[in-house]
Amino acid sequence: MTWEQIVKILVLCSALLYYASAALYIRKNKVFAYIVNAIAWLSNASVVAINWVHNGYVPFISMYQVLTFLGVCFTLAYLYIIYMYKYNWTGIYFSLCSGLSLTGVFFMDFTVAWNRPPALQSVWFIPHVFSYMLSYSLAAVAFVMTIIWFFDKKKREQLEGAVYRLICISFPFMTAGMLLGALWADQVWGDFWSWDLKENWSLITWLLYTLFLHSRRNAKLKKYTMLFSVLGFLALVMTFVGVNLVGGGSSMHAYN
Amino acid sequence: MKHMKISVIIMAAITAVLMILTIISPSSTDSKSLFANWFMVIILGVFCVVQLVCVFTGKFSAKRLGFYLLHIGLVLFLVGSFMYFVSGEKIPVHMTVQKDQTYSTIQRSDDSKVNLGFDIGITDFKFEQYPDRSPKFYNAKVVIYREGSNTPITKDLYVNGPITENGYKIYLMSYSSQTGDISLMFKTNIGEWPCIIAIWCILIGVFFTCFSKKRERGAKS
Repeated sequence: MTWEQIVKILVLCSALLYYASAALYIRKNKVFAYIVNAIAWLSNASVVAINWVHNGYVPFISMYQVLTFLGVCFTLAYLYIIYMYKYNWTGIYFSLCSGLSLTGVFFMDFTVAWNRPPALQSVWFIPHVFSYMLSYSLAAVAFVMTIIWFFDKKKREQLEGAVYRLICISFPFMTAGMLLGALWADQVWGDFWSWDLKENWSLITWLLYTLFLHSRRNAKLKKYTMLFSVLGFLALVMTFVGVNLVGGGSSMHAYN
Repeated sequence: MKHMKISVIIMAAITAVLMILTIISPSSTDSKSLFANWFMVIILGVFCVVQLVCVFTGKFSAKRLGFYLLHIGLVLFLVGSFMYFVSGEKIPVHMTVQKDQTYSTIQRSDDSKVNLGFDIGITDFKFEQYPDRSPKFYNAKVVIYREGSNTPITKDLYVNGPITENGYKIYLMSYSSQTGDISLMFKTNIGEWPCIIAIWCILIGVFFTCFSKKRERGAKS
């Protein structure tokens, strides 16, 4: 059995277990949901570990590697959310998003071994990607909860507060991802900012989440808050995967 | 707080302009000319003024340290970027490994020459490839003779490790194994340090602001 086949099986198991865990959260079977979530996370983390050991560097090079790492981030973020705010009820959203992230992996190139070009051999590489993945995981969950907010009028207050808290945690990491990337870009390309397609969309995403945070603090603008959450996440998807699909070849950030 | 609405409107306008220009610009090269222009400078200038008004019109409180760092950092970053916009320069240069050859001038794309104020040459170049022949590692040994000195100074130049000399930051951009052509870039940017300081101010400020107790109280409102 090749490494590609092993990771494919592990990714499939992780995705299915994350979905099973989400189903168990819906059925309010919390203990089993936690157990299944933990097994899914271990399976997911083992894919990251295989990629890491096989390549000898932190596996953030390809879209496949980054998406499998994103799956790991959801549960880590969930643990922090439980610890900070006792939001155990958000488990379903975190499990669902982890499952979706790993489902996305199936559309990517599953090659385990990736060459790391000289431009990616930088001290900024790991904090840049790690910050972004942590931030994206929280923003994705906030987006799902925003969509529920539009339809479920009974839970609006609870969901609105949770969305705000998630974005409040996501935003500094998104800022860190963007600015550490700028410091790296200055070292490797000689510019903090190159107006590259991916950079532009990341700035648009950041601005939309900035608008979310500001509008919530102004009585007249508060009605637009959830709209900015939706727009922010759509821009985030464009930054993360859209740019690579639409104009990846021309982007300085092009990778597979 | 009363200036927040204006700030939000300007930010929304910047976001909309950015989105439209990004969608209509097919490549990064076109995109650069769309964004790095005086129209954007004016919009961002107005944005800076609003930021400063937000910071300095409110009552000072040490508890708002994160807020001050974040917003002043943003202004400082835009000021640093403006300094580069008006006075910075990037000059691509191609060299080959020549043990006895150094250069005291480089040529801009419009053929005008720039006197560096020092002599520079490449004495050695290391290049490693992966089995599929994609690049793995580059390293150029650079020799520099400062003005009025015959003592050579050797420096290692890497892809992620530029060197600085006499106000120039020198980057190793790429290498052609077929021609032996080494692509360098010489850059001058007086706005570099303001930008670096600003980035760390914004980073510290944003973490302080978003994880503050005041923000936590806001979540309940």
